[in-house]
Amino acid sequence: MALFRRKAASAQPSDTPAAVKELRRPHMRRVVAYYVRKTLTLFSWIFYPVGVIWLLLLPRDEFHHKASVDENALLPGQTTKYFSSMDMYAVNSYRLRVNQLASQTRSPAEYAAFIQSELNGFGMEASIQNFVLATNQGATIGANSYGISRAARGDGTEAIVISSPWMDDGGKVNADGVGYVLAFAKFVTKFSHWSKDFIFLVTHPSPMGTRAWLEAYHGEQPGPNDALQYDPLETHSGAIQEALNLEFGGEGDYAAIEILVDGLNGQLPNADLVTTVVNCAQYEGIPVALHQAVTPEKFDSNWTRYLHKADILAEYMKSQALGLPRSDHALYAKYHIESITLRAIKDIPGAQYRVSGEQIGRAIESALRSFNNLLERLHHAYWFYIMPTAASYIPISVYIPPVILLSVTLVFQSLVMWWMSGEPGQTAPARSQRIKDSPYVARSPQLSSFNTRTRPIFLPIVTMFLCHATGAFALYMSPTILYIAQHGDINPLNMAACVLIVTAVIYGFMIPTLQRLMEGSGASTATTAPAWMVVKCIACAELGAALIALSTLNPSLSIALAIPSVPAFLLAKPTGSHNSFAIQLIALFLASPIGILGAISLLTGLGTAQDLVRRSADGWSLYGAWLFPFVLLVYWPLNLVGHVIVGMEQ
Amino acid sequence: MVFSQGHWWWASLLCLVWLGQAQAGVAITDESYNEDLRFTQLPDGKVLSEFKFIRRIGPLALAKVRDNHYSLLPRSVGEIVQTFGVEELHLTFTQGTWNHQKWGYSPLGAAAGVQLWSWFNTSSVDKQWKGLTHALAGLFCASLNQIDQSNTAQPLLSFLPEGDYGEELPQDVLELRYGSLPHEAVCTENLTPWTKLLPCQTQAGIASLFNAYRLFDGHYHSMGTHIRPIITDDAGRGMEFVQTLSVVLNPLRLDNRKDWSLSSLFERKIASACALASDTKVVVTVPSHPASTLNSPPLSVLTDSHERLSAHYNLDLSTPKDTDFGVTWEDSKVDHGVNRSRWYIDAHRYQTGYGGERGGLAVDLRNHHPTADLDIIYFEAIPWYLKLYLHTLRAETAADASHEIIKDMYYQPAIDRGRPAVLEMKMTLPANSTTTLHLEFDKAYIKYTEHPPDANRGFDIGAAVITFTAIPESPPSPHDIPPQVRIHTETVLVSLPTPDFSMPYNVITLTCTLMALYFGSVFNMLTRQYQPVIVKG
Amino acid sequence: MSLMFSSPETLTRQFEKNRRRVILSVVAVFLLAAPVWWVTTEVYRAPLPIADIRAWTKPQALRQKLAIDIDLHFSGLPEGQTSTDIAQDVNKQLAVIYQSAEEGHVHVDTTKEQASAGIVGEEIVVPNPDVRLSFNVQAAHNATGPPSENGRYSIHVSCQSSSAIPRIHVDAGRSVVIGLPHCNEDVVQTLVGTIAGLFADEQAAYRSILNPSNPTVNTDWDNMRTMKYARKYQLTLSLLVANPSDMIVGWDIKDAIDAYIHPFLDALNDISIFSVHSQVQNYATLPITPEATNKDGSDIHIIQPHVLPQFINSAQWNLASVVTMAPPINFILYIPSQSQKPLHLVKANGDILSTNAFLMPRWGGIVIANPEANSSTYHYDVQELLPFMEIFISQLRDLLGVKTIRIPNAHLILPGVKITYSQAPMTGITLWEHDRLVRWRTIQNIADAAITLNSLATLIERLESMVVLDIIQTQVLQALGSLQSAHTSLQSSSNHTQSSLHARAAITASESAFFDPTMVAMLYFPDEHKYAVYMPLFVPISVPVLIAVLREIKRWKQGRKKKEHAKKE
Repeated sequence: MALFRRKAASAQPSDTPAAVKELRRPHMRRVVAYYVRKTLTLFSWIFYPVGVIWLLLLPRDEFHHKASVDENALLPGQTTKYFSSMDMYAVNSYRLRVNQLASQTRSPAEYAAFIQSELNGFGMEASIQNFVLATNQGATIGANSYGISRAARGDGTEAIVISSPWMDDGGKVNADGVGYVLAFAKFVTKFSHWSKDFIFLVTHPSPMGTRAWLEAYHGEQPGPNDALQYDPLETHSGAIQEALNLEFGGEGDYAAIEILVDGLNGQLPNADLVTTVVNCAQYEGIPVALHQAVTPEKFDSNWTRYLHKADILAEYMKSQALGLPRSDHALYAKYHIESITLRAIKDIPGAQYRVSGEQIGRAIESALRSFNNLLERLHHAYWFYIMPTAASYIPISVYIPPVILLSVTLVFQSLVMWWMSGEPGQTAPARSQRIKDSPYVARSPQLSSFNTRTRPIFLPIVTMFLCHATGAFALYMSPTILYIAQHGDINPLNMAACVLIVTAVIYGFMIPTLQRLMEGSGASTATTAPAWMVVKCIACAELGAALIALSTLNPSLSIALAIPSVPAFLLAKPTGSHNSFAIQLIALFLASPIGILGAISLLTGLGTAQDLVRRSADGWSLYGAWLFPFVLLVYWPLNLVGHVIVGMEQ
Repeated sequence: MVFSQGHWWWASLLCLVWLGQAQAGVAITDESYNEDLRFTQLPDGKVLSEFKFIRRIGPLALAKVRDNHYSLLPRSVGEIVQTFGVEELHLTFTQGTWNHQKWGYSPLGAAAGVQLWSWFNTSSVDKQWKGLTHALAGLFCASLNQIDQSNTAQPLLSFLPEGDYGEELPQDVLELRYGSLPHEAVCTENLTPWTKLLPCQTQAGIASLFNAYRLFDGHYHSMGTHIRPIITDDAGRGMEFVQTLSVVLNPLRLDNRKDWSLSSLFERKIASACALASDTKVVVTVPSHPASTLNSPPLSVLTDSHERLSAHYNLDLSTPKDTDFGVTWEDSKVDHGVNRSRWYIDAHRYQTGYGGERGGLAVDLRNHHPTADLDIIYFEAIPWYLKLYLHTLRAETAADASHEIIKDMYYQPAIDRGRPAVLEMKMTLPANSTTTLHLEFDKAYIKYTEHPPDANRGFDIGAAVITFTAIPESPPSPHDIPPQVRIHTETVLVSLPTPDFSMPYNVITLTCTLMALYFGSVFNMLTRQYQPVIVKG
Repeated sequence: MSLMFSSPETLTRQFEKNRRRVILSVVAVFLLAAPVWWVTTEVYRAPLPIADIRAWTKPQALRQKLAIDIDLHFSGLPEGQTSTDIAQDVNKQLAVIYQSAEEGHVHVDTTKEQASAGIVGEEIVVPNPDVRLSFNVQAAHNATGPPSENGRYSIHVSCQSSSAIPRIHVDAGRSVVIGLPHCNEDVVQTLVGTIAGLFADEQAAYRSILNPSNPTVNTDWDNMRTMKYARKYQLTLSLLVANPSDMIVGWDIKDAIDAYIHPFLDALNDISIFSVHSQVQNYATLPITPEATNKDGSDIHIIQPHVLPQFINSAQWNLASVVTMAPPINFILYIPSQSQKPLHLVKANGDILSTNAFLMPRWGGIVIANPEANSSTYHYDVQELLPFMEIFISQLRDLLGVKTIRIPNAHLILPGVKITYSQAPMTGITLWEHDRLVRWRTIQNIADAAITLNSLATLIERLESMVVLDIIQTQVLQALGSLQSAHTSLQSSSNHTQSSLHARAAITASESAFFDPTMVAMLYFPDEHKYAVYMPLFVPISVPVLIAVLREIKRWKQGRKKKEHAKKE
């Protein structure tokens, strides 16, 4: 640019006519545009590696904020705790009875009846909610039991939920968790310092039960032909402020407590909630784990520290990117309820510290006291963060730039495509010359507005439409496919075969047909731009916009999709040479869902990939997790478009 | 200080003295003061204590009050009644919610927070109402002055006058105002001025049990001030001024026993009877049960229709100091079941929907009577910032659809910042069924100065009031239950869209910048020249 | 087409015109909008006549003259003396005494001093207004009844009275009767002494009103005790019973008030009006414990003078009213509990106070009664209440600033003269006292109103961002008007009733303006905020406009140069 300013400045003959003066401005504009375009065309890919490197730096401590409580009313760990060995005794006895009951019967109704009678015994308004879930495998019958303890001091406008599933996600009876819930139900009635109601909730099976209960609590009624049918609730309390979900599938002595924060679609609770729970636990000397890992005080080297945190971060991003409910707390976020799950870890390799049940009880109590102190909803701290350890976080201001950098490459790419297709300016425009002894000026040809090309619209639209239609069709068919996959008990091999067939159909039939369609028609002429440029322009724009929009809602997913797909799209263009053709196809295929699944099944076996598909499909149909539809409606079609581009006319 | 000088002129007053004495004579007063204290042990072991301080001011004393001579009636109350033309006044401060299901029905039950309704006999009622709320705010150290036009309602059916008015129909001549502050925290600073109104304050009589620590440590605490006209035996309109306090304490909370005594509940005993009280009753009511024994021998014991055993005591100056009452139980078994011995209707209100844009209210109205359909009046005053949609109002019932639930409806739409939406309905609840009312609303965007200091807490929607006439067999003793029974639903907390209060300046700046950009571009367009340059040859 | 082939110059010229129009219109809109913006965003302040207010603090503004007319009636005046001569002599001497105040026993202040009234920490200059009583003594020949208006008095001199020693009788009406054995030269002295003496205290009192910096001891006491003036007072008589379980006490207060208090209040109702309340309170405990002693054989409980200020248990006793704003005057009849009976107040020297009553300056009065407990109830009927009422009245007189009319150190002025004063049987206040009170309040209200207005003006000048509503303005104007008319009516006529009305109006208006709730605006918007908020709008908008304007001016200049060139060639 500087170069140009100098030129412009030097171009000052004393008696330049008005016309030349007038021409200087458009000339400058063109020149600038030309160079911007040129630099973008050459260097727009640079954002991608920058973003990747930045992401790789995130595990370093410089980027981490020590978690601190922003809401002054919380005062975590400051209260005196009354949870004593007596209450612990109650926990243990309840655990035994729960195990006993679980061994006797399988019916949720009886479980619920047991819980209800116990809660009634504490003078609570307890009742049972039955629900039925109709799935491919047939109807699942479930029952939630819950009791409300009215706060002595409060007016019943606010409530705190303490829930636990009857079985943890391992299918094991969550005896200790239920024990704690019942023990606390007994415990809270002994004190009058509570200003919020408590709702004690035991769900089975979960998290479906939690969904049924939450919808009923907020006055929704199931439609006549919904998969999930449930009863309305008999008693209500006020607006639920916080929810604490307990999963202790053990015998009361644990190595650590794990916190599960990310909810449905990766939505997070307010950071204050997490920090409070973590502080209360650590105040009691309980090691707090995140994704099964407890971060030790010191590491033997920075490298190991980096690896440790990178590992946790990877786990964290993985679970957030999937956005599937990992436990009951995941479903609360939709109702603006801050929720978290505490899950006990039996053993951690290398850790011999044991946590006593009383410690856990006191930690839970002091967390409850903190929530009880709150006068308002939690609103001081972040809702957007990434956690490298249980006690620190990366705020949005730090992690959002790399996410954007990754995807913004595509936007620039589409811009470049637009320019190239429209106005192929090859060289920098020369300055306009004055015609001798005349008031007029001859301007350089590049300044002319007549050297533009028209952009073909029909083919691009057809391409985009067909690809998206494919995705939509796949989404529509998915329940059937899954039904077949699950019912005609197809072994993994056949499943793989099935997937291969689908792939073959798509890549062997559909894409070639499209390319045939383009045959001869998409080529560039003197006056028309080549169709592939426009197609790529639209595709890049759509994908870039989608990923950037995604980056605020679910940054992990945005990253996970951007990393493979961005380079593939940068490369994608019609080519004559077979090598580059192959390279592009491979890149695109690796970026495609099927490619990703394939990679996963190569790494961790076919089962996990299959499981992932099923879970994401269920997550969508049962809880409204939109990973599945997003991939099928946006991501995969665009990937197909990429394939088409490769085969188009130059 | 100055000691009074000058007896020099008093001799000349003597003539007046005779004159004065002639009309004075011996003092005849028609005022009376009674104290009434009832302990009821509820099935779940909690103890409900109901204090009543009843003052009856006869026509003569009332005439004296009219020209500002107060003896039994507190001056502050008398002044308020006269200045603002109050015919009837009912003010309650309540903490916690009365648990209808377990505790049955209490005549002293009230909505959480502050509830005030009053019948006026003046013109310009709105002005007087404003003055009344401000005066009461000053008297009871409460923020009653926040009851303004925007949360004042005029119910038609729910709050009928409760005094004796003789022949005349009070609704025709009087005007009613109703206001409530659901989120008013009740505490000692309200109790203290309230007790100062008592004739014996807290130094004698049953009020000597008041121990703020214990009173506010209960599950339910309601403090009432009621004024109503009465017609005493000698023809003429008198006035009744009743102060009530009811509190539910839980003897089981610490040691798991349901024994109780005054000293265990209040850490106090009744010092002595109030000298001014002509009659002091104490009634202890427990579920009649062989395992229970009364701590002190009562005057009389009688059992009511619901197997409840009530022991009656009388206090006077002769009773020994520090008398203690109570019950000792052999077992500690309590019944947490639902108690419907005395009544058949309960109501629960809760919020439906989620998100910041719209929401709804749902009310479960239950009629537990096995056979009889019961008529009720449902009253609800909803603040203006919840935009009601009346067409979304629907009543669902499990009973057969032949019943027409809503008999009659009176609806007054809200005016922004002016008045609340008032909904009053005559309903018939089918026997042994649950009726659910649904109502939906939009949440308004309110000005950022209209948000309370704790903006992120939300807004409390005052309790709905269900009024019905207690059906004959339910009340055992007619005297403690007014013909109209009133129960209150829960308060509901609604969160409106809340701005980030750290941001207003940024918002202003951003908006201004946008406008500036727009202006700048337009201005440039207007003042730039675009003209073709023709190139020849 | 035409455009296509019209030459660049013409196009440019057309465009130049348009551009000029655009810029001019934009600038015009700005200029028009600026004042609107200014007005709509400024704090509303109604203009106040500051100058007039300040004028009332000038020395001459408060210079008053209180005209006192005195009619002389003579009976049996010896030959050689005409009543008119005597009247003139009296006038002369009075003038001498009251003008040049140094000599003579009448103390009249003429020192020019500055007083400071600490309102909003503001030094205001109240010059010595020398409020001066100016007498006009004249002989009245036809005998009329006692004069009926404030400020007009009559003196009857009878020259051959039966008794040997001269007598002076000041009666309850507005007249004095002087009986002399025989009227020689010193009748003038007697008259002068009488008149000067009767008004001496009053004249002295005016110093401390307008010149509180060096008050004489006596008037200082008055100011400490006397209530601040108000149009309406609330009088509350409370019967406080320490322990009704000993004895329930009642009283016939209504009749007692009708009999004793109301006549007095009615006599004052042209100054202030009173609403009288009464109440009975039980279990009214003392915050102080009286000390038990044994005085000549009987056990009594006494309260020392120094603990009396803590006597009022304001936390426990409901003495305040929740509805009225009128300043309260409390009178308490306290019945101690049996354990503390008999309860007595003692003087500093330790002997028991006969009245058993004391007065709380600017608050009210307390009387302690020890009724003997022979039954569980005790009832005060009207007659028993009389002594208490009498004490209350006398305390009320002090609180309201009623002064007994006396001729100070009469033995000097009128040696060997027997002076008697008659009392007001019904009302408890004589017309002399009443008139004096009216005049005194008038002067005081004028002064206070001036001070209040002045400090109000200062307050408003100090806080620029304070909202001043129109109502304030009107009240201030009212106050000024009434001040003016009070002043003129004082100067012109001797109609003190009229001027007192004006003075009252002035003080009421000024006070209501000063204490208006709207004067303390909670949420106001200082100018810094305003500019900070509007800056992001104005700066980016005004920059391109300014540039365009400058460019335009440059072009215009060039154009003119070109033209000149063209002209030259």
